[in-house]
Amino acid sequence: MTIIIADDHPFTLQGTQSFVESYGYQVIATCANGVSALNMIQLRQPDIAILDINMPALDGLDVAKKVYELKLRTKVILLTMHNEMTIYNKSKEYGVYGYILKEHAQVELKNCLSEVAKGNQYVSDSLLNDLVSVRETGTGELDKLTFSERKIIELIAQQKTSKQIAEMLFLSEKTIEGHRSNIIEKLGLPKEKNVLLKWAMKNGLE
Amino acid sequence: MNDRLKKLLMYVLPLVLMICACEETPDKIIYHKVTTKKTDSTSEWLSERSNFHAKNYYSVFQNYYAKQLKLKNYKKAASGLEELTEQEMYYSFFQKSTLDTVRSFQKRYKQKLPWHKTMFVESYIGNYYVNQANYRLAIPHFRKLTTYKPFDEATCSEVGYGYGDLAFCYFAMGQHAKALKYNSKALALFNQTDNYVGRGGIYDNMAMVSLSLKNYTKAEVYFDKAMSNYKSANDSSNVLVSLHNKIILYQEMDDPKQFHLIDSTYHLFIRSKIQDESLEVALASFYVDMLLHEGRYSEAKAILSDMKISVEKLKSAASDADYNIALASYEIKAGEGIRDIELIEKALYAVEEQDDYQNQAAFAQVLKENAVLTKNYQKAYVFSEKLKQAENRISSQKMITKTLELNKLYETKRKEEQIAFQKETISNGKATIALLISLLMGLLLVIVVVLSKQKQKKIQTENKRVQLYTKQLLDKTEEERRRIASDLHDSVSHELLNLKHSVGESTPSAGEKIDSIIKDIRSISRNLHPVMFEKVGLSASINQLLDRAQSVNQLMVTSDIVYSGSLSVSDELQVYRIIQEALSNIIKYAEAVAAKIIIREGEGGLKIQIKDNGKGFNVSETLSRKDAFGLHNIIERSKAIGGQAKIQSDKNGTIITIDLKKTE
Repeated sequence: MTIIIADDHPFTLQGTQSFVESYGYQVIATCANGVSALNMIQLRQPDIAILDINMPALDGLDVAKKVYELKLRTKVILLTMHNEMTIYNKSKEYGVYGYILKEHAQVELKNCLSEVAKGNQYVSDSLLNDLVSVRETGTGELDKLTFSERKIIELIAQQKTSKQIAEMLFLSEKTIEGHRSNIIEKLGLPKEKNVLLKWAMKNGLE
Repeated sequence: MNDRLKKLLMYVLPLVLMICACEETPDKIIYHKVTTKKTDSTSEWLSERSNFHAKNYYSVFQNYYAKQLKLKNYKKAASGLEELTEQEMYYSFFQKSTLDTVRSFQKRYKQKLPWHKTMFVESYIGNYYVNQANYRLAIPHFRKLTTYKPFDEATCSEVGYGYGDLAFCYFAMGQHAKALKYNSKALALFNQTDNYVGRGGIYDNMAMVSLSLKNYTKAEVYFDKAMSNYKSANDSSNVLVSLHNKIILYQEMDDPKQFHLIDSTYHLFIRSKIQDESLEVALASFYVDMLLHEGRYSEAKAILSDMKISVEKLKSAASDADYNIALASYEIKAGEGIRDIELIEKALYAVEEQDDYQNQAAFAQVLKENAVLTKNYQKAYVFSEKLKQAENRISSQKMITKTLELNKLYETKRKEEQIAFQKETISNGKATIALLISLLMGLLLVIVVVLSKQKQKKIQTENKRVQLYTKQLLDKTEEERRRIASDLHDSVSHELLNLKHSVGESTPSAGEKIDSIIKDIRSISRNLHPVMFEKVGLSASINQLLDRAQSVNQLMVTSDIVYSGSLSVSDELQVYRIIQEALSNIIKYAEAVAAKIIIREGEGGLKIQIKDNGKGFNVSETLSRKDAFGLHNIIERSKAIGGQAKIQSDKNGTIITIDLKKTE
């Protein structure tokens, strides 16, 4: 298993390299910028490339994009300070295998490497938790629902029709109907008339 | 008719010489009639008009005149002689013996008396010659009269008559311009006196001139003026003369009113009991004409027999002709045939010699008709030839008249054309002026348009400059924020990370603390600048924004974005900021259940809409408030990227629409 690491922060680079090597992997090269990283990947064809995103010249995403476009065999793991879904979403377009945050590298890097080595994808838990972390925790059941679904069931509790709900949320009636059936499914409710209203009343959502 | 007219005037004018009493005294009048009592009863008797017809009038005069001369009472002799001459002039009854008397008086006694006592001498001699139609001899006498300087009513009138008679002479000689000139001089003098009869005479004279010039309307006006003057003087005799003249005018005009006027004038004359044979004959001949015209033969016959007496007494050629023509016309009309054919024939030859074509035609006409009546065709031929000859002469005169009329018509037309031409010139001038004015206006308009265009352009460039400046300012701010965010993220975060690695292992609580600081820094940096905006793109960044709003602020925000990247990154960033601002406003104030972001790319550009179903606000009021930074932020940012923000809000929610025109 050959690995290349690229990071423009020498301490971080060093730390990463010692982590990776402590897990028993062979670091064949380290780079301080994106351009040399890409060159090295093309030259050495490592199994895995651990890339920082913010780097001079080419950034990690650019390198990942090139690797993807050049159909290189190297699997890209992004190791970054950016706890951003948008960037993660972008990286998925370039077939990035792993996305982990630097502050959790000690915890996550090992798992990530072994998953990616198996050919699986690995995404930092804290990234996925970022958006839901501020959510108020109400009834346990409600946690299963998305924000939109919870909004809809609140409105259902106010005895609003699908049409009214659609108007209030700037959505189409069809979308609301779709959400309704999703909610019923998620909550494991029987398919009967006004089941959502009854459930909402029972759970005191009004 | 013209000759007949002239003749009549010869009778009419001397009448005018009479001085009459008057009642009215208009303001302009300078000289007033002074009625001097005649000291002498014989002199007074001689002045009485009716006494002139007395059989002993002349013997009374002669006795008186001789007696006064013998007594060397020249003044009285002169006044006696003046009374006689005035009578003769009044009745147009001029005697050779009287002329001789006047001449001898002039030679022997005139210088013994002041000039104003002997003015009658020139007046009488002049009128004597006028009566003989010898105008050249008459003129010097009248001219002499006009040299005097009047000092009272009598002298003023005398000089006025002098001018009037002079005018008549020239009129009779066909010199109309001179006639008019002297008439107006006479009128000016008479207007200084209260001598209405004199004034009327001048108007009569002027009417005649107008008539002769075929100016009928003017003639009628003058006749009417003459008549009103005679009426002012209570001079019914001269009123009748004027009426007579008016009949002639109507005959000239071929106006049917003539018959009515003849009828009324004749009867007025009969009722007035005025003894004036010449006027009687003239009016009677008209009356006979009228009666014959109306077929009243027996009445005509009676009038003719009355006429005969007066005609025989008058022994005037004009009266004779009038009578003979009237009689002959009657005899023919009555179907009797002319009795005294020789008389008429003689009369015809007499008028032929005088070149009196009017009477010649009249005589020839009756003689021809008579010849036809008596079946004397040879004579009928001769007379019809003569009639033709006369008519030819008349018609040649008529031709002249016609030519005159045509000439007048032509003159009128020419004048009209001139007027039309002038009008056209004026209207052309007006058109030119109008054109010039409209040109000027056009020029002004162009200048105004150009100026306003320039101003507009200036404002536009100014606006563009301001817009550019705003944009640069905004870009600079963004750049600054991005740099700070990136510094925070890259340097500070990494330093903290390193710190955590070195410290955190020994003290986990410190590690946790460092983690939370990193999180805070991340949050600050994210707020300063959307992370990797260029990489992530506008729609993903917006969706990230919405997700965060949804999870942090419990606001249901959905998006409907169709955007392919037509804007520059810096413009995209402004769009992002606008949406961020709008969302922040909604979260802060709107109390909305949900919001929606719509971005549409169309042909003309980009359309961004941010809707919410909150409580809304008063747009203009809020915009005028000082603290409406958020809304102004949206508006100014929109302007900076070349767009326009429109904000609509009511109780059902708010819609912010930004239209971005596509730039090439």
